[in-house]
Amino acid sequence: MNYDVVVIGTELDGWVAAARLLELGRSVCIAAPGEGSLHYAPGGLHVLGHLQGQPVTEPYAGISALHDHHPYRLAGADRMHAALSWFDNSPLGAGFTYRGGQRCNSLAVTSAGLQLPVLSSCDHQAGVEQVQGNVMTVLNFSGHRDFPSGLLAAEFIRNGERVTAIAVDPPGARTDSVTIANAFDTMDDPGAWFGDLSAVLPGDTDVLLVPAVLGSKRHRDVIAAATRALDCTVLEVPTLPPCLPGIRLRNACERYIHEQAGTLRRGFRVAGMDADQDRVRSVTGSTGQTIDVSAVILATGGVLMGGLEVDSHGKITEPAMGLDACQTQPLSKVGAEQAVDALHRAGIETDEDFRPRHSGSRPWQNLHVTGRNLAHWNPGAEISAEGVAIVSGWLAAEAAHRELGS
Amino acid sequence: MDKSTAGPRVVVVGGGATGCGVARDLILRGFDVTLVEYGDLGCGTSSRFHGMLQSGARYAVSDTVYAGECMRERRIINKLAPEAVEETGGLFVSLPDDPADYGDKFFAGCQEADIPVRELDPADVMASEPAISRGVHRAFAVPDATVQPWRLLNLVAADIRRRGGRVLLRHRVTSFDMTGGRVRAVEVEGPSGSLRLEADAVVNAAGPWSGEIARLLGQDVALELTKGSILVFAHRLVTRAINRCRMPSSFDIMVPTGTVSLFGTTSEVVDDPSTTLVRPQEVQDLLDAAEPMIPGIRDRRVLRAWAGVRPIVKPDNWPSGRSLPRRHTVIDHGASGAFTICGGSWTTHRMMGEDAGDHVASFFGINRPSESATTPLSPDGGGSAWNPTTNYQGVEDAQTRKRTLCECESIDRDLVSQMVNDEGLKRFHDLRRRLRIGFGPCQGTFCGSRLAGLVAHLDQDFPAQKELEAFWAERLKGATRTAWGHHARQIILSDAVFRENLGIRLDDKAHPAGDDR
Ligand SMILES: Cc1cc2nc3c(=O)[nH]c(=O)nc-3n(C[C@H](O)[C@H](O)[C@H](O)COP(=O)(O)OP(=O)(O)OC[C@H]3O[C@@H](n4cnc5c(N)ncnc54)[C@H](O)[C@@H]3O)c2cc1C
Repeated sequence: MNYDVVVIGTELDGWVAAARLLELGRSVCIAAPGEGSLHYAPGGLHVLGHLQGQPVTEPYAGISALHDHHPYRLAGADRMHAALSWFDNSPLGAGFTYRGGQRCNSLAVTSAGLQLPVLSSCDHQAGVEQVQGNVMTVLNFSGHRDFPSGLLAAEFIRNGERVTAIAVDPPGARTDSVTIANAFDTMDDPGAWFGDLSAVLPGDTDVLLVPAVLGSKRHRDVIAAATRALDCTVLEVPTLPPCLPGIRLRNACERYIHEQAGTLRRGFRVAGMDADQDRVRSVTGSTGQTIDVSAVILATGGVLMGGLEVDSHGKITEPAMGLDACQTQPLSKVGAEQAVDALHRAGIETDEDFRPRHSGSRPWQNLHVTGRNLAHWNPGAEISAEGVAIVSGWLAAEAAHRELGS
Repeated sequence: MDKSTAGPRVVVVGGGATGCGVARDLILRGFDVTLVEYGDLGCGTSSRFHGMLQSGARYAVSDTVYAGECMRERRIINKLAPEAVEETGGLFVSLPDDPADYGDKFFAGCQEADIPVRELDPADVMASEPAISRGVHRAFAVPDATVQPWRLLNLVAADIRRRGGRVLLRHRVTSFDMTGGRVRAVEVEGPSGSLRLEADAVVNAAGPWSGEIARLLGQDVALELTKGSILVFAHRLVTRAINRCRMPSSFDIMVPTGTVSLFGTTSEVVDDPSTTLVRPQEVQDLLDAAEPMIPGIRDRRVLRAWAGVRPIVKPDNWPSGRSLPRRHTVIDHGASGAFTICGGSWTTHRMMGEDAGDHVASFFGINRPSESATTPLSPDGGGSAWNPTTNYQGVEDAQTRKRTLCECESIDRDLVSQMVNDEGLKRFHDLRRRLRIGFGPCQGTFCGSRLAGLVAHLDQDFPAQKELEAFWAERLKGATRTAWGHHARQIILSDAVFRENLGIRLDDKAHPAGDDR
């Protein structure tokens, strides 16, 4: 098998890179051991939500405060904006809306009753502005464990909002998010199901908050039907993982890759590679299959997904390509309070085209590293996971395309 | 019900194993008892320990008398509170590095201490414990067991209350009124302000903090504080408590308890009784020491590390370098009516209570012997034996995961609701200690917010969100000390759930009293 580019990993950065390269006319294979981590993503496009523990209003303005080698600093505001605009206009970004304008965060509601700054929200995702001051009802499905509706309601009440919590049996046989979503996807008449709900819905409800499980494919239709049946605004709040908004995005990515005639090989774990001086020529999977390539994008998801490994001495390595991981200090020297931050910030240091700067045995010319594999950023502290994934994935694709020439 | 309001008033300081043992002994002798605990029961060393109800075999050679006491106490505890004890059994294994002649001495010592001991065929032992070294050349079985610390302490506290005693949790002893050189009262500070507890006597059972309490009593107690750190691994890597067959030292036991295995301990002298810091080097030392017993230990799924501080009274003229005696000490502070009890072990806490009780009784000229070994702990005479699979049985029976709040430990929502409604327990750390919520591989990642949702649902005024923050901060503190392998991934996932999904920002100022211990 021979491709222009092999993208290793089904993280958002990998999907974005593959989608962009396919659009640019390249042949692409996505090879990954599993599903990636998008089902952990609660929905919304988080670009830069917090800086030094404080909420950020304008993400682009905030990037100058980041580390010199932060992926956004490598990209620069203009290229960042180009990447995010591409996403917004591509089929991958179809389910997203800018609520605070293209450059300003708005606040999304979390299931803990807290607020998360988000650059663009999923359609029908509950935002602070849409719920504040309205009479709210929080719906939970009896037995659904991954939506702490009690906490959400209590926090809203503490903040002086008018909220009632109700619980009803979910459609479908089981009570986990995915089964409930499937039940909504395959339901004959969602409008009728919500019609029955109106019997227990407080009459003065302006906004019904539901766990974000109203389907993985037909959720827009389901929400529209619910809105008609109940005559109130229906908004989703993300659940604990697995998160349907992330799964919907993954489905959209996969659909687009198929439409663009990309190849997807699941169950492929990179075990080795073949190189010719400073260029990777092929990668080999753990079961022996080899893929010949002209360029590689390493989107293996950092520590979270095994793209980076930590050993019991606190040393971090990159197992697929044997790249050098940058660690400001060994984890064993870091206090417990800084350990999570140190884990996040360790990773591969790259140049502005996301090519590794210190690359183990040699400087690879046709290898790009993206997303959580990158050093000097912290998705938890910055609330920036999707932003960095899109920006690094898109720019890596642009760079690989340029290098491949015509 | 034998109300004991008539007897002299004794305040016991400290709600660890020792204080609970003392308070129960005293109330059974007719004293009017108040137990004062700074945090929750067992928030000090009594939960930061190795989990063993020791047969005493560990001391069979070094201190045969103490070994025999352990065995006797271990039998008594199991009779009084089978629901807090798991009969895991223990093994002493000789590995290539262990002294060849220790086995025989060990066997003889156990027999002398009346500890049932059996030599086993090493081949059988290695077959039944697949995780341990293949180099076992001698092996002995002894009746070591494990104890669920909070379960037992809460049984004792319930018994004290039932008999008319008071147990004040989240109350700190701040000073003593010693007018005229005698204990008059104890000043305590609690959530709703200060209290003055009139008292005729005081027993200082504050574990590593007993030096501080002694100072408040105007006494100087020379304590040696030794910190021991323990590594927690997911799952039970072994079925029995595995000891090295050699003179007791650091780093030589692996204990299966709950859903985890504990390896320990390091041993280093510290100044601060509140220290719970595990240094990175200790973690490395523990891993290196565990490797000969459990080969490949560095690749096992680790969960966290913790440390406890052992308080030992240093006998006068004790030769330096020699390890301090395990046996406890009761110090009678003269005519003041104040006593300090310190040292010993979880296993012998009842006997320690009896000893302190003897001192207090004789101070008041009361000639009533201890009844703590023979009086049942619960009115119904002790429940059925604790079994780590009890929780799972419920899940199996119901054939549903609907109501499960914590998957790692199989904690049902109803169990939590019961605690909240019947016992008024809402603090997450209290619920964690009693139910083991958040003890498993996810370390609170998923169950934390479920717990918050449930408690907030049951009591809308309770600050569940703040509690959730504190819960996560505490879980993270221990978990990040072992950030490698799959556990490093778990930590990042946990961070993603708390920060990127729930929107929580870490605010580590807010540790409610006792949860920092
Ligand atoms: C690492 C380690 C492993 C161990 N393993 C085992 C084992 O496997 N088996 C075994 O039998 N023993 C074991 N031990 C020993 C055993 O844990 C201790 O002997 C026992 O727990 C000590 O209990 P304690 O009640 O004296 O102290 P603690 O449990 O520390 O109780 C003292 C209490 O006093 C309270 N307090 C302090 N100051 C105040 C104040 N001003 N006002 C009110 N209250 C206050 C504290 O909050 C605390 O709860 C181990 C010890 C360590 C350190």
